[in-house]
Amino acid sequence: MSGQMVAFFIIGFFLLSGALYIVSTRNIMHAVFMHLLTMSFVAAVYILLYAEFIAAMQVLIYAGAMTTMVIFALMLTRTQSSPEGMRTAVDNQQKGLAFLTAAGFLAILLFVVTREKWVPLEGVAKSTGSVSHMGGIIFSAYVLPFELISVLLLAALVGVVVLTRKEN
Amino acid sequence: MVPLSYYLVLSAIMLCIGIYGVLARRNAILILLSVEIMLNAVNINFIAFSRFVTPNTIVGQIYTIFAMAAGAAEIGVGLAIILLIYRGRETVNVDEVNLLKW
Repeated sequence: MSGQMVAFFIIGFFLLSGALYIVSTRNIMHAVFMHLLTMSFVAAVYILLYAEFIAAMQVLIYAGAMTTMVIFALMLTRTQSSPEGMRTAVDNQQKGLAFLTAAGFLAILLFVVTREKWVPLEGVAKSTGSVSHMGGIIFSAYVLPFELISVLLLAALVGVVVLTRKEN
Repeated sequence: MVPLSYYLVLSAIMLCIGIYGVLARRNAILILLSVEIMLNAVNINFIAFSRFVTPNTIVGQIYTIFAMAAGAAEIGVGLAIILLIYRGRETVNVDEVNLLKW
């Protein structure tokens, strides 16, 4: 077993147990902090896949910015993380059905993934996640989607401000 | 080297954990977190395929950048809607928000 394999199994174990904790814990604050950890382990998976720039963005955006935003939302709403809210349930009554749906979908996915023979097309790559390499591709072939995504982000920004503004 | 199918199995399990969370949770913030888990499972798939299928034109990584930006916009607007619902109804439990439900 190579070092990469060992790293993959360790990272995968922590990643999946973190995700399971998020969907099963009763305390929302714990779920949010576990979200931070889980997203960092996703970044570790990206590093295993030679995507260093994406890993850095993952830590910045998902682990950093999103966790902060969700914590702010938690503080602005009285939910199950506050003492008087702890008595109300965080899960609904359809847990069994939800589990069956997820397990069934997982069975289908695993059947497809394991039945198929995956052959790498162009052989093994060198490290291609460098910023200059990515920048060259984004700003030549994908410049239109790049501009569109910035319009989308601007629209979301304006939309959030308009939505949460107090009317008077 | 870790084969491609291992990454696919990892992201499939992660996606299904997210599906379970979306279906079983009442709290809207926890549902958003579960959606984030599903989004990240898809991103792992993108990057794994980019590494093993098109290692030199890293299309999957570019798509992941765009998916991250879309995810950031999604969680911003989602949290704004949750705050609005909380202001109007004093709850963020999605099964108590049933005005549009037959």
